[in-house]
Amino acid sequence: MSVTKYRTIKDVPREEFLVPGTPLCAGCGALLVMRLFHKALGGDVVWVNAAGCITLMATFPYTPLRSSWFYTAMPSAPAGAQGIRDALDILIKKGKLDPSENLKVVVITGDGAASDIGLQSTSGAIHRGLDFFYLCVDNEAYGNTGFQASSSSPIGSGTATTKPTPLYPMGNVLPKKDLFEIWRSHKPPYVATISPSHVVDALRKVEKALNFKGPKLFLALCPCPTGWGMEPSESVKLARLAVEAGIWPLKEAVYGEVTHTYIPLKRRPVEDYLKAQRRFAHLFKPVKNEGIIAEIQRQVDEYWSKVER
Amino acid sequence: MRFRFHGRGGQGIKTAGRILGKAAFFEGLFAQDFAIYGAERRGAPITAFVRLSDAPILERGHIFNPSYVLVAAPSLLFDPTVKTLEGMVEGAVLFVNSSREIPILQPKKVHMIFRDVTGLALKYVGKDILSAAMGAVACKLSGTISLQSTVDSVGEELADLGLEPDMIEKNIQLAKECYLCVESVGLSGLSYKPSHKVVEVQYLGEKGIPDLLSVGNTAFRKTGSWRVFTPIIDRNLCTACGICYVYCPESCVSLDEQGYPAVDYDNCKGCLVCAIECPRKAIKTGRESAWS
Ligand SMILES: Cc1ncc(C[n+]2csc(CCOP(=O)(O)OP(=O)(O)O)c2C)c(N)n1
Ligand code: SF4
Ligand code: SF4
Ligand code: SF4
Repeated sequence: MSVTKYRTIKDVPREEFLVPGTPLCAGCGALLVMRLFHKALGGDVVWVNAAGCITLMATFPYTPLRSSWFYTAMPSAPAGAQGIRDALDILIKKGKLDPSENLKVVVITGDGAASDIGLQSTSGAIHRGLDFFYLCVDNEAYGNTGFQASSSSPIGSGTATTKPTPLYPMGNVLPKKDLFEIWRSHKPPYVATISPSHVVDALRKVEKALNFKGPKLFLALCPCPTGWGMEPSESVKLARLAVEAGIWPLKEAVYGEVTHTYIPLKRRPVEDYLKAQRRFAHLFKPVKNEGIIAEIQRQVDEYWSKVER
Repeated sequence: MRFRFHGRGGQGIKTAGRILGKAAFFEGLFAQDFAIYGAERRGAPITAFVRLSDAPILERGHIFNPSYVLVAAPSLLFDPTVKTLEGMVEGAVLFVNSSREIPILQPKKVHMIFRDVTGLALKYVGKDILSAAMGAVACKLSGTISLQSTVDSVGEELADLGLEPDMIEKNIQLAKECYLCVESVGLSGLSYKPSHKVVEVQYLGEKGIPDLLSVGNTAFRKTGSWRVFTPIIDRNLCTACGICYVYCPESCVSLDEQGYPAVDYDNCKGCLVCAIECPRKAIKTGRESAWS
């Protein structure tokens, strides 16, 4: 058994690296994830950020960060991370930077950048074994530009580009891309899913990842009050519901070997999660679309039936 | 007539402007409406502009000298970055969504009206969304738009947004009540000077360049003015479990040596995640009044 600093919620580090006053929405799940992630990483960090909601965090000339931040075009955050990593390594090698001033290079992007526009450069960076962290804040759509569907949007969800129509009453018909499996198939040292509701689980995963050199990838479910259509106060509650319903499995893979870090013993019905959000409202009104809800439940059940206990 | 609406992302200010514009159109007037969001998101200050005229409107751009200013979130009156009162001339009309009068230092004689339309919205719709309410108030203040056109416009605009019929009906009731809760105010003698304005960039340092090296400088932005509801911690119920501290997305809860929480009201956006997560229900919520 490895020893961990994090046993209860009381162990969440007190130091804040993200100060208040960002322009992000009230109740933004992505901001909470970033704040907690930063606490687990410590302060010696340079964030590399592809265009997306998180970019708003630092609008010229303001920044909430006590660490460094580098902004890249949407497809190329991992390439930016490679450049920074190389520069740090070279400076250290030449004796121009004291190794104690080394920084962790962390990519942060939305699901659109992670699973569509930036997947190629991400795959390249994992393939090259780049020593970096990658945090995808998955709000299941292109949040910053008005919540259009991404390949991470779940089936049945209404987005700006998958509004329910008579032809497609269920909204989005395409399945959610399984980024965890895509990343895992590269066999990097570490891949994990995290949720802002399960904080100790998340901190432990970052703690574990710190032991590895190479790509360390995190996929975080990030409730988005604006796009999901729920009260800002319910962000954490919905993230928890996603985990309890089995929709968002908490797991990790070390060199490709998968372990579930939390298995909900009695799963909540997916319906409880769906009906709490306006983006799924068309599945319940004007008439309840039993077929699609049952299909979503079936997919979740099928996933868990394959998980070894 | 030039209208400027000030509100917060999520309150429906842009739609309020659209309701006014379309209602005026139903009355046979020319109308122009548009909003500005900036880079910010839900809860952030938002401004909407409407121009109405009985002749084609050739003027373009932001309205710097409004005849009517409607403020949906009173805390904005004290936010120096929003400039709610900017350009108001003598004889102009200021409507503030507030149950009581707020002393406003205003050298010129401005007609001030205070009404609590959030209270009405909570009563009729059950949410603090003010598009129908603020739109209806503006229609009435203008003195040229009938109740019928107002109601028709609310119905059409909200249907366009995909609201359910029962929600539209509730909003129409709200609009009617708001239309009746104010009197029309004429604009006799209002004089305009066209203004040509350049939007200023605020600099932090004195060196003439923005001070990019001052890490953590967003705290100066004081997002506390974004709040509609305020979390209030009841020290008697609190067990210092620290949950509210952990889950505040904004780093706005700090813990003292004994582990008891305190909220940074200067920047708390009022998302109320802390209140929902508190296992002891020790965090109450109240309508924002910190600005008074
Ligand atoms: C190549 C490219 N295409 C489109 C855009 C416009 N754009 C800026 S942010 C954004 C949405 C990003 O969505 P996502 O990556 O899911 O992050 P989120 O905003 O949801 O956090 C888009 C499409 C861009 N900046 N670059
Ligand atoms: S749109 Fe969603 S993800 Fe983007 S800042 Fe708002 S809550 Fe966060
Ligand atoms: S969550 Fe509630 S009980 Fe716990 S510290 Fe905060 S206010 Fe106190
Ligand atoms: S309401 Fe609570 S959780 Fe939200 S910003 Fe304020 S202190 Fe933080």
